[in-house]
Amino acid sequence: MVRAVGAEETAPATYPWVIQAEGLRVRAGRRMAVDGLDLAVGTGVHGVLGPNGAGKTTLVRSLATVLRPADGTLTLLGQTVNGRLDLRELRRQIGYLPQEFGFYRRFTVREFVEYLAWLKEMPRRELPGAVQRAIDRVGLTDRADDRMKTLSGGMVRRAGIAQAIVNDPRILLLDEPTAGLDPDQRLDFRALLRDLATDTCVLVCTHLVEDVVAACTDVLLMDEGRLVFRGLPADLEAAGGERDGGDSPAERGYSNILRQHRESAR
Amino acid sequence: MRWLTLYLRSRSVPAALAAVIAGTAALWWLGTTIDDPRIRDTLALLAALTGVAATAPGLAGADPDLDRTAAIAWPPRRAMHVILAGAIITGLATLTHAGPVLRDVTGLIGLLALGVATIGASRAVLLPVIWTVFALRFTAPLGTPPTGPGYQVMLTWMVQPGHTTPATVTAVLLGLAGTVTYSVRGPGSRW
Amino acid sequence: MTARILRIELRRSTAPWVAVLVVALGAALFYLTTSRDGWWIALAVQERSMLLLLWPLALGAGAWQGRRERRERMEELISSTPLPQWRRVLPTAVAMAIGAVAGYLGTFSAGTGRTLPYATYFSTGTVPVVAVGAVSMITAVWLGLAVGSRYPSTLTPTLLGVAAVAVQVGIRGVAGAGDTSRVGLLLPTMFGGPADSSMEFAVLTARTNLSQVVWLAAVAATGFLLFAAASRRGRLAAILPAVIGAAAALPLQPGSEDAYEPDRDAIARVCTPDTPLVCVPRAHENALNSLRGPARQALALLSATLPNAPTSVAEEYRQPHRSERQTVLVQPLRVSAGEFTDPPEDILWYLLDGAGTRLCDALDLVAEEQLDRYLTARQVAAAWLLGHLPANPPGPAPLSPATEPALRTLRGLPAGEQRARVAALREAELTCRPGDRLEILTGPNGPR
Repeated sequence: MVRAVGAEETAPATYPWVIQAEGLRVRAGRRMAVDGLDLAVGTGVHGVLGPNGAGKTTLVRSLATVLRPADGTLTLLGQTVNGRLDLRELRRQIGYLPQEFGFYRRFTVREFVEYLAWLKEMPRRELPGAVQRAIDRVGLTDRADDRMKTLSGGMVRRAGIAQAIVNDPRILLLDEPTAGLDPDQRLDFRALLRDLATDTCVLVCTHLVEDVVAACTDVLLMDEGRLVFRGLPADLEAAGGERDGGDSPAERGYSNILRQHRESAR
Repeated sequence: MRWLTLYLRSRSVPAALAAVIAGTAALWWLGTTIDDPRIRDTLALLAALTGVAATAPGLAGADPDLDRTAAIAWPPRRAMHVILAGAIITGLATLTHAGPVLRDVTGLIGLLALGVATIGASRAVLLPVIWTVFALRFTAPLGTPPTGPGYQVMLTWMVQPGHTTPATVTAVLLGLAGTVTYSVRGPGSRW
Repeated sequence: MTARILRIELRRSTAPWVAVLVVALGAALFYLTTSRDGWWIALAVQERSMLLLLWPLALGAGAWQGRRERRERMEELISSTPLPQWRRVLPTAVAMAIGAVAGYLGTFSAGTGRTLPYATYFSTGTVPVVAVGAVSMITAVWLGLAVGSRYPSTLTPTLLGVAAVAVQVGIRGVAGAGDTSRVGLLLPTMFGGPADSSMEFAVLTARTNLSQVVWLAAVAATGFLLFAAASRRGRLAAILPAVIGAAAALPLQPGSEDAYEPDRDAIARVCTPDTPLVCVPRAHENALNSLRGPARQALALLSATLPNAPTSVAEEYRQPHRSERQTVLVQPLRVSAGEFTDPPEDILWYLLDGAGTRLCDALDLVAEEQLDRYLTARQVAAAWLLGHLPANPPGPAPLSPATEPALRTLRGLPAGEQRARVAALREAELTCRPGDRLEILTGPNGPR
């Protein structure tokens, strides 16, 4: 049987998009949580918004190569994710903060980040320096040698961010990174995101519309497993009208887009 | 009834019960193949220990701190949980094994409850397990339980013959101390 | 695997706790049970028998560690990382192995307090006994890791440990205590073995050690491969080492009779540098001094009355026991903590029995009456030499009711006659000449 050679297989090493999905369908349990999603993003910070159950977490899990797509094509860093692909090379360039972030309670912050850096197959020589840099960037320097179980919720979240960025990933997937962070820390976090945006493709799932507007170069809005809006933060703010619910332009835009999408779908 | 069902499910009691029944049955089968009555006593102790160990996860909910904030009166319910669990394990083990099962279960479950109240449900099982493992040294096929002095008899209470008063007293004290401490303090937090 | 990650695991995994728990339990067991102390091999064998409890403990600790990824909810994060499963689990497995082995060796060291003060002889057979035990601890933790990670329920560690105790007790119960069946020898506890009375003189044969280590290492390999397997096919393949190990170890297993052999060095004689020469097997060298007193007494009593009296005493383990003209031989005595457990007067009686001779196995006395007369004659000779009849003498037979009248008859004879008759009995016993011994001492005709 003659097989058609796909464009992605002949593509040069430089790829147009860091993450590219076409008709992507991913199962979460029995439910098809991502259902025909088309997406193409490059470097920059992309905020993924959407109501509960929109499929954000499932999308991120499939991008993190934890879940395998049920249908459609997913191309990460120019490589198509399917059963034949050896994910090892790809996974070295991914940083991931899961929504339910578990951690070894008895490890110190430094040990934990180092352990994850080792799991991501970083060169041994770069390891201690990279670990220290990651811990410094999330502002945990003075707690670096404390046990993970002694950290507060926000600090644990920051340790999670530290492990996600320790390998200088090309793709950084953060599922609700700001949960539990205090206002100051959220400002620091936004600065960190802007810093990363220059050479990394960052995907941030969140319910905090403010964070997206403040730190993201790009807004993606999901509902029922599909992408329903994509634009600049300014576009989101412009989409809202006076009669939409919300306390800020961005929140009004968010509710308006969702409402319109749901009405048209009906 | 609804409350009870939900409570039992929240403490994954059905799974624990299945484990206890399977473990007791396996030990009973093993007992039928062995002639030495002293070794059968050892198996009865192991059946009691299996049952008590399986009780451990159920003595604390998914979040002890959340349970603590509940408006209902926990102490009598906690005591009831320990006593009923002990009764069920005793019943099951008595059906399949001879020997001082009631004493063993009383002491071991008290020890477990004591552990849950002090070091948390995830580690509590270490107390009855390590004490029993230590005492097994003095039972068939490894040896015989000491008959004196008193402190040695009490240290090996679970492997003493059924009529040994100091052993029974130790077991009852452990059972009381555990049940009371646990019902008053509730499960300790994870540390 | 990098050294840094291994160091993290050594500090943060269950590994240090395995070591601490095993040493604590092991030391408690050592010091709360009575045993015969004074030999490294005895310590090693005793620790192996304690594996009945230490092994399930290590197994449960392994399962506890194996549950970690589930307990700490790390599975999601780990499944997004590139490192192959087997390389990821390697530091954990190595750290746990180090912890378990350290616990085992630590327990051995804890037992040295009861051995070091008395140990004068080190049997090279000790090393493999300890080594095989240490390997079995690795088997335990790795199997535990495999089961705990596959079935990460909170109940797994306890149920696994209880099952391990029950299975070992069950095999022991079915096989019967002390039986060294082939299956029993494959268990780490090493059921059976030499009788307690002679454990310091025995070593495991090389075949026994080899078959045990092959089997235990194979199961350990299976445990590790199961823990490291990322797929169903990998788990199926992991069974292979255990199957091959069993196939290799069972034919190697020598069976109960040949599992042990006498330790040649342990039974070789060592003697006092001065006279009279007093000798013991090397394993009993630590008790040599406590044999000097009774030996000198016995030699003095013999030389005071008998012509060609023996000049030395030896405790002799080697078979067969043939009496020696110059040396009073005594059967192996019980030694513990560097001393004979028999009081000196009992040892003296052993030495004087049959006027300083061993029992003649060659006589092959089957009839009870014949045997009784034979033992009575030997007791009479001993009592005559000692000058009195102990109320309850130790030795191969209880005091016969015939002894006392026979002794009186002997004493009724003229002094020279008494001496000649006892000398004749000794001569008969040295040569194991057939004939009734009591007749020699008390018969109307006297020695012929």
